[in-house]
Amino acid sequence: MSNKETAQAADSPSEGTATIRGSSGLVSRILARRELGVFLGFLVLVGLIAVTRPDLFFNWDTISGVFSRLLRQVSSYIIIGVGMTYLIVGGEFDLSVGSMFAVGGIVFAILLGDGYSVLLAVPAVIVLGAVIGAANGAIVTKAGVPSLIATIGMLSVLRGLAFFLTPGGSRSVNDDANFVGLFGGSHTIAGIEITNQVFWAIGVLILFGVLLQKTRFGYHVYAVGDDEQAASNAGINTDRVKITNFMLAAALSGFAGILSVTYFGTMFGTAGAGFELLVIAAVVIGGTNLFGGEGSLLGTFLGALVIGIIPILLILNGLAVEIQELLTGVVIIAAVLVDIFVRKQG
Amino acid sequence: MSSEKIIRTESLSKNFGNIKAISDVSIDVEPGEVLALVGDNGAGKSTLIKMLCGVLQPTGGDIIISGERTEFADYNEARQAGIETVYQDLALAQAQSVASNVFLGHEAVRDDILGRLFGIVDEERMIIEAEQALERVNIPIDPKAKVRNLSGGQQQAVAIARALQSDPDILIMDEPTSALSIEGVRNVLNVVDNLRSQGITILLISHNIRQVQAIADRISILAQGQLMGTREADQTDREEIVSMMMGAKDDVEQLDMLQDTESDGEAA
Repeated sequence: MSNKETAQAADSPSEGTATIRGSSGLVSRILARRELGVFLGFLVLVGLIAVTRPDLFFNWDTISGVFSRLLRQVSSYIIIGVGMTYLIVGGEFDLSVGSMFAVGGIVFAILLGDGYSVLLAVPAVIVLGAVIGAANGAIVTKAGVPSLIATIGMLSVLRGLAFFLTPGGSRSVNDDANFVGLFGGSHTIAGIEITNQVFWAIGVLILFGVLLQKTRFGYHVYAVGDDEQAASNAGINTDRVKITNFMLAAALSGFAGILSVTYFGTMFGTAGAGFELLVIAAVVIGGTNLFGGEGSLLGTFLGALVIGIIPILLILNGLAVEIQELLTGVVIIAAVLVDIFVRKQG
Repeated sequence: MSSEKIIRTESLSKNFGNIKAISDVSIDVEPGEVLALVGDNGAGKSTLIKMLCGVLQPTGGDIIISGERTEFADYNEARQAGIETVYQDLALAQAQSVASNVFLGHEAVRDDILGRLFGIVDEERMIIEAEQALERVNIPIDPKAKVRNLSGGQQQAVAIARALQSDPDILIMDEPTSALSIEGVRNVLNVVDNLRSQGITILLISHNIRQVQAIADRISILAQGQLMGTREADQTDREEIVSMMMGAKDDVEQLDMLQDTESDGEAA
């Protein structure tokens, strides 16, 4: 008997039952540290604004405008990032989200222009997104096309559609239509103008955060991204999980387009170009494993803040737009490298 | 125990094109025993168990489970008939917790309206039940730990605990000790012993004769897709088993190969 006990002690990487409570604390501490690290990174970037432009930073009128802009910008990344997080945790990704953002806003504007109610146009765009996402998902899972190829194709198809639907270069929304304010309006809180898309983003984040962490579907998303064969052996319909994720990502991208067009009043055929990379960067910076199975929406939220504040920092310091693109690319590659490095250590 | 065999195969065969992977194999498994299937690589062990757990369909012959002739279209049907399989690669989601893996695909849902409507997982229950399932295999593991932080033997225990969730009558284990440390092997053999005392019938696939002799009640030896014979574990010896594993072909090269795989299994 003592033989067996020794064997078990030697077989376990840590010291027997003493770790039953201890290690979960450790795991959550490590996870918390990852997200804390991203938040600290964000604070450093805010600090850089304070150091480089104290004249603007310590002036409430200007800095409130800066934060208003930041929140508005990141709410698009967050809403699209929620779907992208589901996809990446589930082992896939979608490069067509930026084009879907444009198509969503433009189709919404057209429907409103044709006299349809906002209450009809919003669900219509969401359903359109879900259908396009289902197409992405079916091409990837049923036909076996890698998501890189399938969604780059869809990126082009939807961008073409966005241009086709904007003969004059853009589509506009009538601000006076009923319920438009519900999506595109804003509230001023403590001197900061907070657009309604920010509240929508928070709502989407909480709702889908709970779904991902607490429901069977959420568990299956993690399992499918972690080991598709293991998930499939356990009776999980892995194709269904993946297709649902693609539908969610495209539907939320279309919804983000609605929030944008109702706020700005106009959407260009070029809207959302490049969002796919920014959103993937936000998700990966937030600690989601690019190869699936791990990640959180809290991380994506913090990653979106980081991605959102970089161009603001650059603009306030008079740097060219071209540098922003370059720097964003560097940040993405660096984030993935750091991620891979950290995981190897872990 | 009744005299009825829990598993019988009658002249079971499986061909892949022209290759006869299994030909005319008839085995009996008594309820509650540990029957080891041994054989060299390519002897047909995996093909035989894949037919028993529904992954492959026989080309000929019959499978009789508890007296009933059965045909499994897939492993879910085998599972419903009370046959669970722990595969060699374990099929665990490495980045997820032990509890998630024990319940993989069958997560416990909270027993209230919201829980059932949205499929909200009952984490507390899963942790408690995972702990109980692991107690059943007598290996204490933190149900909240991530699987990838566990040793090989602990991972094997998690895979077995998951298989036991559906209360199977028959547990098929494919090379459960092949990638383990000496301690891990000992733990897994203890688990097998434990499950036998709980009345579960175990079909154990192995190429390690020493381990098989230590744990099995009976040993069936396969070679080149054919059953060479079945021996009581305590009434045979290594030499007899090895010579049966060699089958009709008794050439020196094969004997060398066998000894290589043997020592691999023990050193790992």
